Amino acid sequence: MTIALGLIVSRFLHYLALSLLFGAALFPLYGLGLSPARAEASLPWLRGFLLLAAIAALISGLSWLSFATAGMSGNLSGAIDPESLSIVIGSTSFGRLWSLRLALAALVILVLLPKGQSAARLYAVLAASFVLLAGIAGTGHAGENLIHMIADGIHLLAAAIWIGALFVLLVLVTVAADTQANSAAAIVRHALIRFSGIGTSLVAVLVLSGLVNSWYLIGFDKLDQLFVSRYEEILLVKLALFGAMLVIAAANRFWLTPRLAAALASGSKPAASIRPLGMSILGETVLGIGVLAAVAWLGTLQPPALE
Amino acid sequence: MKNGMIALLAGAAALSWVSTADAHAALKSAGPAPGSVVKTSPKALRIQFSEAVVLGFTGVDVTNEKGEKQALGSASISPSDKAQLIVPLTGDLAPGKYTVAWHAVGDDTHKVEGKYSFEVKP
Repeated sequence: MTIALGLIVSRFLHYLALSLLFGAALFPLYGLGLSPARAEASLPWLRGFLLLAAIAALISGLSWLSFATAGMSGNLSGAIDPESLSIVIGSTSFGRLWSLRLALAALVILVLLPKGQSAARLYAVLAASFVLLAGIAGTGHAGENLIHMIADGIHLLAAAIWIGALFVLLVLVTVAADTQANSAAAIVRHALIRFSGIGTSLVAVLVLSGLVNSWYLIGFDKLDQLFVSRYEEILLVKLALFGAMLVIAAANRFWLTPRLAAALASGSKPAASIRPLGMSILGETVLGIGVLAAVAWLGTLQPPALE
Repeated sequence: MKNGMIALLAGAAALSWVSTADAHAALKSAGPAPGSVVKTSPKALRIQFSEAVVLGFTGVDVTNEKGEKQALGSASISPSDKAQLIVPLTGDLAPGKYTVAWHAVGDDTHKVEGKYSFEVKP
């Protein structure tokens, strides 16, 4: 049980860290319309945020490897046993792939360490986190079929863009609430309006790629057993969390964002409309974290179609 | 930009394909065969899995009817077949029933285990 729990927690943190790395590095480009050269100058917290995410990605990747090794050796001590770890790294393709992934994560940390701004750095972080995220698709149950693997990779990337955007929006809203400045509130409005169009496409991509994944993992002939297996129970919880995220996103788009825009246009204080926006984005973020936790758990279970 | 995207996709695909997961390792056959009766003590156990197995995480315990563990040499993978495990017996097995409890890890990193028995009856 301890090994299984360790593996679930490692997977969860790895998904979250990589989603933040990719999603938060991408958001300034499409959500704020900044050039890569200007992104770090306009958002002084961005480098530190990405650095933390990269460190978390490396540590969670290491512990994923450790707990997977413990699972193979059959006892928890295998997680830190140098002999077991060297067998996994040296003689399984999982271990070889994982050493490449960890090296890439370490490289991202090195790239992010120096202070200052550079456009090339943001591109490098985006490229590396793209490869690390999409590469997860090949390691799991999707690794046996090309179409399934592509759908899984797209699903992971779309989810990361959403989760990363939520964190950046959360920072922007917090800044706007703290400073009470109209300029900060205007940036929030600008970002939310730009994100709303992309958010709709993300939902469409998530639903479609999710359907392809469930075709391979559950098989629609097994839908009648939907409440039978633990796998499907967790999948339904995940879908419920996703549905709740959609409700909040819709409230944001059709009610809270127009309210902020109206407040800014009429020249009244935006504080009253910033606070509910912040609460709703926070709620959406918590739900998104719940979705990632469900995914981490699902990945350790046997999908019905493969039984 | 377009070339960059292609390079990225190729990188992700390469990193993915390295690990293209196989199905779980399963026991296909063994010598002495599961449920069989042999006349003389075997010199070694040979276990044929469905997939290549990782030696460090693959092995057996052989017990007699009283549950006593039998002495085994160090296991190895057949040089000609990475899915075959060879476990030498250090001594002769006395007549009686034996249970082989095996565990194996395939390239997909999943641990699988099982049991079978055979009998030595001169």
